[in-house]
Amino acid sequence: MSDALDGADRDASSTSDRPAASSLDTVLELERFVDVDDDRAVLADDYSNDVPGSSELDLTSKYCRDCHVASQRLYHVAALSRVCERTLEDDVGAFPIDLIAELAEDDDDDVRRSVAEQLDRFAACVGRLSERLDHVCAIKLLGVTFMLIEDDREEVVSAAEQTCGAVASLLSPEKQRSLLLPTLKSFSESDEEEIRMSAAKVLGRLAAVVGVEMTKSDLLPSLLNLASDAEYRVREAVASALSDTFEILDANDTLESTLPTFARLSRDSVWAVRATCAKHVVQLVRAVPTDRMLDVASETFEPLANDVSFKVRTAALEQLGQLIFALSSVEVPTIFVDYFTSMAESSTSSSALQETCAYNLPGVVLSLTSARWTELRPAFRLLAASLNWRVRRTLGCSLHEIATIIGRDNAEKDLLPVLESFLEDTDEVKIGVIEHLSEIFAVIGSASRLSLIRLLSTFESEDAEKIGNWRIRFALAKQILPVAELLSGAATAEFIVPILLAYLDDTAAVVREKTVEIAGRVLFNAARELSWYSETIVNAMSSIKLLATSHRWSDRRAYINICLALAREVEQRFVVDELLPLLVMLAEDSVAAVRVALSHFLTEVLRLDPTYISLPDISAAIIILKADSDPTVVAAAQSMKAEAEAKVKDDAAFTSARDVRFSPTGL
Amino acid sequence: MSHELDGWIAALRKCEPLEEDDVKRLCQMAIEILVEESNVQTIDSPVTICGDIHGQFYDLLELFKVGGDCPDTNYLFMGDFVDRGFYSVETFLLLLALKVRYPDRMYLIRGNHECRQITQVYGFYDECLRKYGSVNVWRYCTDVFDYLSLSALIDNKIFCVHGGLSPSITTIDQIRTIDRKQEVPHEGAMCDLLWSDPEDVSGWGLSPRGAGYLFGDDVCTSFTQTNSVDMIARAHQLVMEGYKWMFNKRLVTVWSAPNYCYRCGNVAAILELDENLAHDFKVFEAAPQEARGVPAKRATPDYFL
Repeated sequence: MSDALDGADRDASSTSDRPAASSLDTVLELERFVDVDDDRAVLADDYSNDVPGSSELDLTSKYCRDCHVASQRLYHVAALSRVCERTLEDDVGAFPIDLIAELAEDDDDDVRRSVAEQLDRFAACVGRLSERLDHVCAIKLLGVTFMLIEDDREEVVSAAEQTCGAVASLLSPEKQRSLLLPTLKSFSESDEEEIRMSAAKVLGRLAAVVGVEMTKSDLLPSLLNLASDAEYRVREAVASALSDTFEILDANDTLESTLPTFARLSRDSVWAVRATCAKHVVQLVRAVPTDRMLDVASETFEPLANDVSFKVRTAALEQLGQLIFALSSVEVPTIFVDYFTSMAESSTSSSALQETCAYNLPGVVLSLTSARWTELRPAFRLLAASLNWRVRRTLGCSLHEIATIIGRDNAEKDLLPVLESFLEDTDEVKIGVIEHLSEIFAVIGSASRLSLIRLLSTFESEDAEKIGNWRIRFALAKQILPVAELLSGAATAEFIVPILLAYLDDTAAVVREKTVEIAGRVLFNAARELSWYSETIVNAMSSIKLLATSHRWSDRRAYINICLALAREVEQRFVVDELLPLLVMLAEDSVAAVRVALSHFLTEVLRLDPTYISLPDISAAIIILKADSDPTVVAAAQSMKAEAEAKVKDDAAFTSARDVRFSPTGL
Repeated sequence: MSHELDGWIAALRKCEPLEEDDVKRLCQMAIEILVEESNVQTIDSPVTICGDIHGQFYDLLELFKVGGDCPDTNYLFMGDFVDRGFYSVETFLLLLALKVRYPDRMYLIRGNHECRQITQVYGFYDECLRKYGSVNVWRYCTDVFDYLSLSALIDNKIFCVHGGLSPSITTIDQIRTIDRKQEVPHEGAMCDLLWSDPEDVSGWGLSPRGAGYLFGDDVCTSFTQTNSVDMIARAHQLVMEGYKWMFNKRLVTVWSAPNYCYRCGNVAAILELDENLAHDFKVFEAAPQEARGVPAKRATPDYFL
């Protein structure tokens, strides 16, 4: 794509003698009128010569072999498993195993990778088509798998390592013993380092497939053997594969057979092996008997956390949050907490450890409970003051979770100052906090709520034209109702309603629509406590009524939709006195979208309360709308209830539809 | 029918392409509607005018957030739905499905990229091949292109076209007589409407694009006076501020692909016209990375608990 663009740039600049200053505005996107040679070679294959009556699988097979445009051929190769799943119902003989074997030897790396990625789906398909294990297709698929694991390309091998388990599961234990394990054993004894690495990875992956017994009798011995390999990358793969066996073996087997080797690898002379061990400490600790968890955690974690290599220390610390969480069933020793809080103090340029610390903080707070918040508080303050906005954003997103765990007093004292500073932070941080504001409001006391709410009114769009970051205002609009429900009517009227009115006039449609949706409920809640005739509510209603006569059609429609939300909450008398006179005028609005909204309003209101039909203003509006020139308005008006229609006919006897002139009476 | 369409629209809004057979049927339905439209589609205000989109699907969703969803807001898209961006298929099919579902709320006119030859070079053709393994979807879509209207006239006062004017066209009525149901020709009135650019020249000038013409203030003034229109709205050229007035506000360029080609750093704009044809530009930026639906990103939680 960028080549084409560059080409266009060049073409344009070579033929245009405009000054360079204007080039960005205009020349950049100039393209030449192109004449494409109809029989140029890159044109894709045309399928018009397809044999009629060929099955979808036949066609896909043909394109997999014959397409000469690489991207087109790759599409069909990648679609092969899907086509098999969709079209093969009970005939395993139709499974295209020979094609798959052929494609696994293709010259195109992407084709072989695609086959490797689909091995699990092919296996599932064979498994569905043939109930008995060890079908000839399964045996052949295993051969394909081995071939792909021995491939030259890393991405092919890595895909096959991921998917080989499903192929192995098509074999009976006997065949697993006679075909699978000997080949893996020979892989593990290969002269090639890459093959021995793959052997280690596959051995780990197959533990879950072959089960406890075969893992103990066959897989584990091979793996433990490879743990002494001369090449560090093989030992690295073993460290990772051992963690796969943790999930299969029972706790004592892990403790006795695997732990010593894992411990030895965690002291390996090469840092990369130790770092891989550090990444799997949590799995190890979870896999040993509960009464040994703490010992195993201390013995393996501490040396790694104090390793000479920065990368190993980092890898260990990155797991610490999860480790503390795994240990939460026991009293977590202070030393682990100290290691955790030390991450907040790290001040390396990347501040990656601070990010990890912030990411794991809620889980650690939960593990330690509010009783030990004091141990974490200094780290929390450091993270909140981090220079890296990602750290502050991560913390901001989880403030509500931490608040809930540590309770009102701690939250007010320690979290609120941070929250207030985050509300004035960069957009990414701000939005993370705003999205969970009401959950924080629910934890803190009413005095704190009021001081916080004053901050919120600052997020209005300042420029009538530039949308700015509407996501912040949208996030806040979504919080208005849940926050208001935690405030008194007076506080809502004083602090929330002004925000609401401002957002009804926002530049972004999505912010206005969200606000319209909640406006009725917010006003109703406030008025229920203060009465509709209190000064602040009357003023708010006046502002809303101004929308009905605004020069902007979207404002007039907003008025109708706010009225609909209110009509769901208030008595008919209020609707008639306060809302209806301006509403029914809009039946003759010049914009169809406004009249459509009014039709929806009337339909909905009549469904809520059929007695509305007895109001002359309502029935007159319906007559007007049914005679509308816009088909959508008429369709919306037609959907009004049958009984409403019957009533309208009675009224029509003395009100001619065409002659209706509105002088709304509010009755 | 509308039930099925609603399903397609829902899928397309999630950036999921339709099955090939569904594309075929959608395109057939679209042709039935478009064939009835005039070369100069008459549209009533209020309507929101949009410029080039170029397959930037997630930025199109951003546009709808800012301008309001279809059918709540009426839209006119002035062409160049495809090519260059990563999601030409989903972008064009979403706009087309909205057109079929809400023919009186959504209007699409043809841009110079809605053409077999251009799409073969600038990305749409290859995207179809990559996503469907055949050229059929590209064929169905390019067949629809031939039926797209060439221009629009809002309340008889605002003339909208993708590129600009043509020396072969003096009156809007002359546009009505073009046989538009064909591939965009290399020259002539239909080509010019889709390819021309306004420029600081007197009269007509040769276009560096190799198709269409450059036209000056005098040409624009004479066209607007002859046809009693207030102004011309067009797209076709990247403008860094999203919109650009020219010729004493008798012509405006609207560009709706923010950060064009994911690298130009421009903002985008749409032009909202109310029922009295009062203008209101809305300027917006590209959708942020996390709104672009990259699966790996979506799976990452904000924190561990």
